[in-house]
Amino acid sequence: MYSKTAKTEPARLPVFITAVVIRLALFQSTLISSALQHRPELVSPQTSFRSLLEGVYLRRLGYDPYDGGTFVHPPDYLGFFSLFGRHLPVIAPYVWILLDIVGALALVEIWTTRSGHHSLSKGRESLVAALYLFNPYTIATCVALTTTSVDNSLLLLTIALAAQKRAIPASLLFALSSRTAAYPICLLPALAMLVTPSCKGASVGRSAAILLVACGGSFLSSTSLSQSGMLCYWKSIDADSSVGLPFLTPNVGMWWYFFTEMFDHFRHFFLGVFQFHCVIYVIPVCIRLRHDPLLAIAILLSIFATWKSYPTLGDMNVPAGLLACFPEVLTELKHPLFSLTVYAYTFILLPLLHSLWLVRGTGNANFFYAATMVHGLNSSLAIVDVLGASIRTGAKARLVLPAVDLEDDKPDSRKGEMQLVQLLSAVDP
Amino acid sequence: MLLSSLILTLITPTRVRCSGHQDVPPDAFHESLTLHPLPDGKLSVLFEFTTHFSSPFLSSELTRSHHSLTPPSLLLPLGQNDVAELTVSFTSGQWDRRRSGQAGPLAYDAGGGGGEVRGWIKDYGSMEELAGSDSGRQKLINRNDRRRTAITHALGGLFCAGLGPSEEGEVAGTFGAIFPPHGKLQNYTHFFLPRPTETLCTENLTPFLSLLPSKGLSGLSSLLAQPGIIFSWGFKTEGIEVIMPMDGQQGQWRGWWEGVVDLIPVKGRRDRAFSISRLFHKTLPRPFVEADSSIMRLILPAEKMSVKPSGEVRREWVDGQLTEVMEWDLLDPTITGEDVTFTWDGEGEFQYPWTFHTPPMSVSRTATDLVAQDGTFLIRVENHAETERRTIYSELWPQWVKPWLHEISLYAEDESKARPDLLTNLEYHPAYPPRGSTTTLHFHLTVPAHSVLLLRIPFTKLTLKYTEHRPDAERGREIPSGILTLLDVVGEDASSQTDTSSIPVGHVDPRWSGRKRIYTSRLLLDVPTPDFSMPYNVIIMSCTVMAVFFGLMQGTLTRRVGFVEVPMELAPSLELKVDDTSVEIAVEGLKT
Repeated sequence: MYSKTAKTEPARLPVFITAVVIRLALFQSTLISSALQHRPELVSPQTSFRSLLEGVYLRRLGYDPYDGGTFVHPPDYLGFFSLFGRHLPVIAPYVWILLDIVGALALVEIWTTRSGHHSLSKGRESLVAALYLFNPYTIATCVALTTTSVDNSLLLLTIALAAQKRAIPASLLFALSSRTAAYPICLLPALAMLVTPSCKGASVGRSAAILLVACGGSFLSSTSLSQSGMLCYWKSIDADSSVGLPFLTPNVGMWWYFFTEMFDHFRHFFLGVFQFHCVIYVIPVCIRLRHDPLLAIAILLSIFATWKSYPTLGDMNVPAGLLACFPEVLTELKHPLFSLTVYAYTFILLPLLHSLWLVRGTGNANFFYAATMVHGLNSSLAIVDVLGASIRTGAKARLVLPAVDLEDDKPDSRKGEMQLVQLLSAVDP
Repeated sequence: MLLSSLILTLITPTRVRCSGHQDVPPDAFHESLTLHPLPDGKLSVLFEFTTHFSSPFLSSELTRSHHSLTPPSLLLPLGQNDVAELTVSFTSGQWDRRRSGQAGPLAYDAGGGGGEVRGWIKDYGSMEELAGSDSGRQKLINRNDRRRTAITHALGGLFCAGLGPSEEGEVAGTFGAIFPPHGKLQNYTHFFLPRPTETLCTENLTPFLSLLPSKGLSGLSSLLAQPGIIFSWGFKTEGIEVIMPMDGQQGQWRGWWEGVVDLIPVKGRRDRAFSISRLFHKTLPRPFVEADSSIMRLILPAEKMSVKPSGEVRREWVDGQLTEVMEWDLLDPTITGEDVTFTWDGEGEFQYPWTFHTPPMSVSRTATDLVAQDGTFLIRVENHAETERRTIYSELWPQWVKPWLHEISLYAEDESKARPDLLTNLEYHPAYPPRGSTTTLHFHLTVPAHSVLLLRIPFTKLTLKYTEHRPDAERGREIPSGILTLLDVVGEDASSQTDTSSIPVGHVDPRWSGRKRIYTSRLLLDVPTPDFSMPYNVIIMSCTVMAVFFGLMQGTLTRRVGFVEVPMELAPSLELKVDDTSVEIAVEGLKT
């Protein structure tokens, strides 16, 4: 298991302390924390803290929490948070802050693994941690006490362990994070590529098999537990809203209004189309970015964050944090300022238009839907930008220039210079 | 000779029939009209028609049933579908609890606002049977559901109202303790279906009258058969209650019709005095020939009234208060065709009272803190009596209202801290959204004397699909009334009480009441609506974004990236010349 021996780097500690202080200060203000806990941009039915409390309470009363439709969290969270019992609302802020710190440590570990242990990279560690911890979406998701923070920390730990080529701990944590959310299971090929060591005997298939066995084992063990009545796992699959979309609560995704306005005849078809669209990018991205599986994971996570059934603004935290570990990709981005500006624009518009529709009643649902479209389109363009930049970076890294004779320092001994272009014909990997 | 022998053959079977079944008591029909003046210048008028009957199959040797006073259109479907008890009620208007001083109408079985169907039906468990559907294909459905559907369709056809569930699973089965059966029933299950959107109109009155043996032509039903007068009243409720004969006991079916009349005329002197002819534009009608009893009653208020011609005065418990009741026997031929006048002694112009006596027990419900999709139900239970009351408060919600149980709080109004000790039990039957079903909550409350309890239930409204909205979706949707069941009432039959003559008239003892349930009003909840004109546009726009993303991704993923060598003359280049002392940067190739 990942050991949290944080090296007492003088540059990292102030970042962590400041992050903790900011979060604690925001938790003290009940106005801000209760307002954020009810925002649909941050909170979906799957991640709401209110329904987590409700599920824990119903379990304590002896009812089945999955019956009423108020609770659709995975049973792992039900079991874990039931341990706190009545004190959950009091302890939760500290648990969430701790999880944020753990996620940041995992991210720093990813960075150090990737960049090697140079002295240059150490200075950047605090920057990576700061970019993750001071991301306004990360802070908002933490203060809103949504389980997105828990999912994100689990994901980051999984990726960190996989980046360190520790197959067994990575697969255990991967099994856990694929049980708590529906979409991380699609990261299996990319994680398998990441976890495979580059020595001769290892193969991607073997790593994939380990991950798959871990997931299968965890599912089987939970069903056996459900026979004994401890975990109502099959009920939760039935209640699992990711696949069947039973709740049409407004959120920042592309699904809810589409399926609200749809006639029942086409519902199953379009559910299939949307789910298929979400997972269709896994194999092509993994093939195209097989030189850098970590980048593939970042891009796939951002695709899931945009196109999944109940996205929130907090789902982009992990891809944004991972991007900080790729400075060479960031320099190749074509329109980073545009993407950031539109993110800031939708950050303001989404809550404004939501309240105009549902609180004031002077607008209608189309306003909020339009803001959702802008957010989704912007995320899509940003994803394509990052993908293009990573391909160009990969091409540049593989470029082998003809040998230059150093003694011959005539300035125009080169015939020409190299420019990176994109050809119009299909790739032949 | 031939004719007399024919007559003989006709008479003989009847004689044989009568002699063979002499132990079957004959059907009996009773009707009554109760007038109850209310403190704020209004009058509550209650018609009740009760028929006692034996099983229709007993009084005939033939296999077909024989109905003399009972309506076959009502009883045959009930018998075929093994229904033991059934109550249907329609209520329109709001009962003003404060101004009338009563917790509800005199018809104790009237439901909350809108329509209500409830009853006890035989429980077949999960037995399934084949049922033909409209398309002709037979499918297996649960036997209970099939019988319930058959009953609600038959009743709906009878009352010209949509009495069936509008979606699957809307019928609630957890109200058996709230509406206990009158007799001993085994293997019977309770079903309860409130329809808060129903109204009461002439289409419901006409079939009601046709169910009566007097059919609105004679007896008290002729007073009722004037829809122009009846439907100008304020609060109205109509209903039937059927108890089928069982185990040799006679059955009973009872129909009631109650309305609240405003006695103060719109123009002219504000005089409360009224008479039968002013109320109904008719004098007392000739009685129905088959009626066993036909009674008119006036519940005398606290103020002195003078009535001409007067009737017999008795003391009775009416809804927890010992009052004097004046009765007239309308079968008496001397009163047929007469007009009865009622005046208040010494009252010229009516003055609306400044204060009202609230009933000993009352309940009201509102929705507060309505923000977007969340809200809080606030239920006020008031107990002004001297004793502590044990009650059950029940709520029934459609599947799109989800309560947050961990946030429920119970307060006494004048205290600031919560009183969870007053909630002795909580039954929670959740719904299974998005499948149609209902959420029911039963709170077992103990209400202390002279106290007001506040029960707060936060809830969330789910967003509904396009096809689940009503055609006028912006109106909102109604949820049924909440029901407060009083567990410690013993009824109004004072024969078991030792001595009523010592108790003064007007004494209030809440236990001597037949009112077991008090209803709140319906609530209209705003449901967040999408724009209904947008299906095409939404599909187009969302799919466009998806296609843009897919296209860009496919282009990026499938195009080859490579390096080409560009000749130096055509490309501007940056050359770095390192010198000993300075660094020169020369830019070449910019002349073009």
